[in-house]
Amino acid sequence: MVLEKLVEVSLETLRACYTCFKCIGVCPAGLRPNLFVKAYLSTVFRELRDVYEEIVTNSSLWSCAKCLKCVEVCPQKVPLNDVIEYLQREAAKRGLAPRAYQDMVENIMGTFLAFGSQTIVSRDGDFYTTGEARELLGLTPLPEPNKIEKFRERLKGLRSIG
Amino acid sequence: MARMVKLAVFTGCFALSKQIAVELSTLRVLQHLNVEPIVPRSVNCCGFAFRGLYPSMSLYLTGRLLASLTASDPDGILTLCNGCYLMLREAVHRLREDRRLLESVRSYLRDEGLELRGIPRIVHPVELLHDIVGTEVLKGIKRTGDNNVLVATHYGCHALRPSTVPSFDNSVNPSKMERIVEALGFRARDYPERLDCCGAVLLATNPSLAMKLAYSKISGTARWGFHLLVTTCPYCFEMLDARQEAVMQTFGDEPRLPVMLLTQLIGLQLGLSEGDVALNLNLSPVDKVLPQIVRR
Amino acid sequence: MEGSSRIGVFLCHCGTNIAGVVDIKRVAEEIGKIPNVVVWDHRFLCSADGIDSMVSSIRSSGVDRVVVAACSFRTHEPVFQAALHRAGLNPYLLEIVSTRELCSWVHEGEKEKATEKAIRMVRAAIAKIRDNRPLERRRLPVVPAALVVGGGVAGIRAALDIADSGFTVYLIERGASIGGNMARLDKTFPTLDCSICILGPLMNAVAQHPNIRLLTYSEVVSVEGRVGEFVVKILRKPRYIKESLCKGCLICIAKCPARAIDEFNLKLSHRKAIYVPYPQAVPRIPVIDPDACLYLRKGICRTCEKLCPTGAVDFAQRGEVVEVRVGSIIVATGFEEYDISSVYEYGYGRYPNVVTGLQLERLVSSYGPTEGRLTVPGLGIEPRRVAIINCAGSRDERHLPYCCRVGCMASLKHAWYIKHLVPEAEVLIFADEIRASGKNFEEFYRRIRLLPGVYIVKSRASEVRANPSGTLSIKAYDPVLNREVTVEVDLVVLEVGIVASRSTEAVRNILKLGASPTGGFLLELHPKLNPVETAVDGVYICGAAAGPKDIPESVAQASAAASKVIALLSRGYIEIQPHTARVVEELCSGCRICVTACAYGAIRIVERGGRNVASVDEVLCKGCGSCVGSCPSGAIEIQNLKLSQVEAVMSEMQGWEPYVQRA
Repeated sequence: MVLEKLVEVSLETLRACYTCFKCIGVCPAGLRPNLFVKAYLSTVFRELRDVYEEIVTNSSLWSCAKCLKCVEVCPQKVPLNDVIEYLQREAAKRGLAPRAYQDMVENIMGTFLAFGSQTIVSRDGDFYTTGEARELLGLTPLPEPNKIEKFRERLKGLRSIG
Repeated sequence: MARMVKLAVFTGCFALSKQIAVELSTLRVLQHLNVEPIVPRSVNCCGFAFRGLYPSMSLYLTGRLLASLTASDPDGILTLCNGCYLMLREAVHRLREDRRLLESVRSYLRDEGLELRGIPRIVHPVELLHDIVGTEVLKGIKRTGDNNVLVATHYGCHALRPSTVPSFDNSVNPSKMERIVEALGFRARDYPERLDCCGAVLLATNPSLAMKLAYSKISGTARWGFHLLVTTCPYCFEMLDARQEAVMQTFGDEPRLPVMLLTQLIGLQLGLSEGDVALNLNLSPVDKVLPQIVRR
Repeated sequence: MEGSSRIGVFLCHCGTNIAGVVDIKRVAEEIGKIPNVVVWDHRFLCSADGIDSMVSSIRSSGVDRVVVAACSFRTHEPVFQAALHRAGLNPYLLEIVSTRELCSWVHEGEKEKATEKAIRMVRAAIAKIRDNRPLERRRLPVVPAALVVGGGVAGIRAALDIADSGFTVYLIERGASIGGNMARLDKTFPTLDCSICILGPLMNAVAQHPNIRLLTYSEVVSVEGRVGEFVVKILRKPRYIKESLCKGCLICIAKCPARAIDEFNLKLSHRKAIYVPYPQAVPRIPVIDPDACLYLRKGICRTCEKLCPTGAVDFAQRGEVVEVRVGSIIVATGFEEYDISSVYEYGYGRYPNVVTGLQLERLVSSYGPTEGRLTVPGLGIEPRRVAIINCAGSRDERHLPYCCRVGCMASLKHAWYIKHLVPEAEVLIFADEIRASGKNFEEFYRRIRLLPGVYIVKSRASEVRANPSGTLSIKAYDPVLNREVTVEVDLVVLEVGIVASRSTEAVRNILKLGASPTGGFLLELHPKLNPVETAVDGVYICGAAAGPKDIPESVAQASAAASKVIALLSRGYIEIQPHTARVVEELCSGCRICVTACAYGAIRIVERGGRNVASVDEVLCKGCGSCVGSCPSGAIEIQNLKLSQVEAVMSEMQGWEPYVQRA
C-alpha cells in the first residue's frame, strides 16, 4: 500500500467548469483561477499545449494565497485549489518551485519544525531570540530533535515522489 | 460544572517560534476555563506550506502529528494555528472516509514506533471557547470593559474553508466569534472584509503580494470604525498586527488599527495582566484601545 | 331614444397605471358637466370588486348605456360587456376608451395633455354611444371535423388529440410519410432516448385511428369559408401507386435501377426512384419520383410494375384534388434548417466534411446512410476530432436575428453522440454561451462537460478553413485562455438556425395568416395570452412553424391547439360579432365596388326584387369598413359605427377646449 498513490487527487470534476469567471472576481491575489482549469483541460489538444507550458512556467502559479475563496464560490464545485496544486507539482518537477519550500523541508528534516529560532520584537523596541522570549514568559523550550534520523529518511523518500 | 476537558494543544511551528503570545495567552486563559491543556513535546510541522507540492509527505507529517498528539489520550486536539487546523481537520476527514489511506498512514508510522489509535476530534480555539467552554461561562466573567467597544472579528481562511471539509462554523457566514465577543461584553458586527485573506501564505514566495493582501484586509476593516480587530491565528496575527506598520507605510497611511489575539482579550477580561498575555509583543497600537477594555 | 339616454361613465385608475398620469379627478369634473351623464371612478375597475360596484351603479342609477375609460378593449371588452349583461343592459351599449394605452402609457411625460386627451376621448365616446343600438350575436353551426396541416410530431399529436375526442381529422402531409424532422433525429435531448422509438408508436396510432383520414403526399390548394365551415381543396399528388392495393412489401424498390438524392438523409446518400423515405415510414407505401423514374422520364424500365404482386403500380395515376369541409384548421408545418451555405465563413457546401446538426443526426442514425457508423463525409474515416459550431446563422443580424432554441442542447447531444460512437475522439464545442433553460437541461449540460475529451470554447468560431489533407481548421478566440486558437479537426458540425418550413409560406398565404418578419414563423394572435390562436378565427398554429421550439414544447403546443379545436367542435356553434357591415338596399346601386374592396370576400351581389344589390355575409365580415369607404352611394354602414357616429366622435375630439389657461 503506497501512500503516494492514495493521495493522488482526481481532477476529473474540473471539467464541470463552465467559465462563469466568478472565481476571478473573488481572487484576492488577482489571479484567474479558471485559467488554470482550462490550461489543464486544454492539454488534450496539441495546438493548445503551449498554453499549458506558459501556465506551468508562469510565476503567477505561485501567487495563490490558498485562501480557498474560489473553491467556496464556484457554482460547479470545481476544486480549483487542487488544479493549482497539481500545476505547482508539475512546475516543481521542472525545478521551478520557489526555494522557500525547500528551505522549510530542510528545516523540518533537521528540527521537526518548519522554522528555527526567530527574532521577536516588543512594542517597546526590545529584541529577543525565540528561546529567550519563551523562557522569559515561562514557556517550554522548542522541542529537541531527538531520534530524527528515521523521520528524515522517510521525508526524503516521500519528497522524491511528491 | 462539567468534568475538566483534556485537550492536547498543538501550537504549530510559527506560534512556537515567532508569535509566542498565542500559546502563552491560550494556556493562561485555559487555567480559568476548566480546560486541562496537555502540551506534547514531541511534535512536528503539519506540512501545510507544501501540502500541494508534496501531498503524500504532508499527509505523512499530519498523520505523525496526530499520532504524537493522541498519545496522551486527550478528549481532542486544540490547534492554535489555522493552517494546522486545516491540515488536521482535512486529514481526519480523509482518514475517516478512506480506510485504505488510514491503514497506509498507520503502516508508515509503525516503522517509526508510533501508533495512530483513533481519529481524534480537532478543535479550533473559537470552537473551544464557544462550544466547549460556552458563552455562558464567558458571560459570567466580571466585565471591566466599555461595552461600546466595537470589535472586528477575523476568523482566517483556513478556519472555515473549504466547506467540503467539516469545520466549526458556517463557512460563508460564521457567527461563533461574534457571539464570544458579545459574551465578553463588547459589540461585534458583520463587515464585508470579515472573511478576507490576510496574505500570510504568500510571505515565503511573494512577500509584496502578501503585504498587499494584508493592506486590503486591514484598510478595508478599518473603514468601518472598529476599535479593535481580534483573531486567533498566529499567521493572521503576524500579518495584521506585526506587519501592520510596514504594510501601512507601503500602501497607504490610514490610522492604524489595534489588533489583539482573542485569547489576549479574554485574558484581560479575566483580570490577567498585560504581561500574562504578552501584550507587549503586539506591535499594533493596542494602547489606543486598552483603557476602554481594561478599567482598573 | 337617443336624446333621452342616460349615460354612465366609469373611470378606472388602474392603480397608478392610468391615474399616475391622467388626472382622474379632473376628468370626472369635466365629464360630470355634460347633461345626462353620471360619472364614477374606481381604483381597479376590472377587479371583482370593481365589476360588482359597476353593476350596482348601473342598476341603481338607471343609466342605459355605459362608457368605460380604462384599458384596451382588446383585453377588457369581454369583462365589461359581461358586467353590462349582469346589470341588464345590452352589451353593445358599451364604449371603451383606452385611457391607459392611448393616454397614460404614451404621454407619460405630459400629464396635463394626457388628461385633456382623456377628456376629449371620453366626450367623443359619449357622443358616439348616444347612437349605439342594442345588437345581438348570431350563432352558426360548426362542421364537426378538423384539418391538421403537417404530419410532424406537432401535427401528429394534435390530430390524435382531436381524433381521440371523437371528431374526424384530416391530417395532411406534403411528404411521402408523416414523422417530420423528429423522424430524422437519432436521439432526443436531454434524456437521450431514441427518437423514432417514441415517435413510431404515435405514427402508427395515426395510421390506425378510425377518426383520422391520413392524406400523405398531399398539399392544401385552397381554403374558403370561415370558422365553423371551411371548405378545403387538397391536391393529392400522384404516387404512381394505388394505395388501396399496396401491401407494403417493398419488393418494388429492390430492383429499381434509378437513383436520386435522398432528401430524408439530407442529401448525404441516394435512394431509388421508387422509395419509402425510411423503414418506419407511415404509411408504408412507396412513392415513385417522376424526376428520377426511368419510365416516367424516358419510357423504359417498368421493373417495379412487373415485380409488384398486387398490381399496385400505376404509371397512369394523375394528381387529384379532393374537397373536405372542416370546422377548424391547425397549421403545424414545422421547420427546416436555414440555408447555412450563406454563412460563407463556415464553409458549408464548400467542404464535404462540414455538416449540419440534422445531417449529423442522419450520420449517426442506425437507419442513416452509414447505418450508425459515424464516418466523415469526404474523408471516409471515423473522426478523430470534431468541432461543433453553435449559433450558425442564429443570433446574427446578417442572417437570423433570433435564437433557434434547440441548438445549444443539440450541440451537447451531438458531443455525446461522437463520444459514444468514437470514445477516443475529441470534441470541441464553440459557443459564446450555452442556453440550457429547460427541464433537466442544465444537468445535461454538466453531464456533457464532465465527459473527458469534450472542451467547450466560450466564443463563436470565427472561421472554418480547409487543409490540403482534407481536414479542417477552426479559428476562434478563447476568452479563458485569452488567446486565438486554431484547431485542426476532421469534421465540423454546424448547429444551424431554423426557419419555418418552405411549405409554411404557401399555407400561410392560402389562410391569410401573419408571419414574423424573419424566419417566416406563423404569427399568433397574442404572444402571451393567445399563443395558438391566429388572427383568423378557427385557425390555430402549433409546433416549430409557430416559432423555434423543441419537441416537448411542440407537443404541448399541439395539445393546446387541439384543445382549442375540440372546444370549438364540441360546442357545435360559433357566435359572431355583430359589428358587421349592413347594406341599405334602397341606396345600393349594385355597382360591385364594395365586392372588390372587401378583403374577406364577405360581399356578394344578390337579386332583391328585380334589382342587384350588395349583400354582406355576417360571418365573414370583420367590420373593417373598407366597403363603407368605397361605396359611392353611402349605402353601407357598420353597425354602431355609422357615419353620423364617426362625425360625432371627430367633432368632439376637435371641438372641446379645456377651460384652463395655457401658458
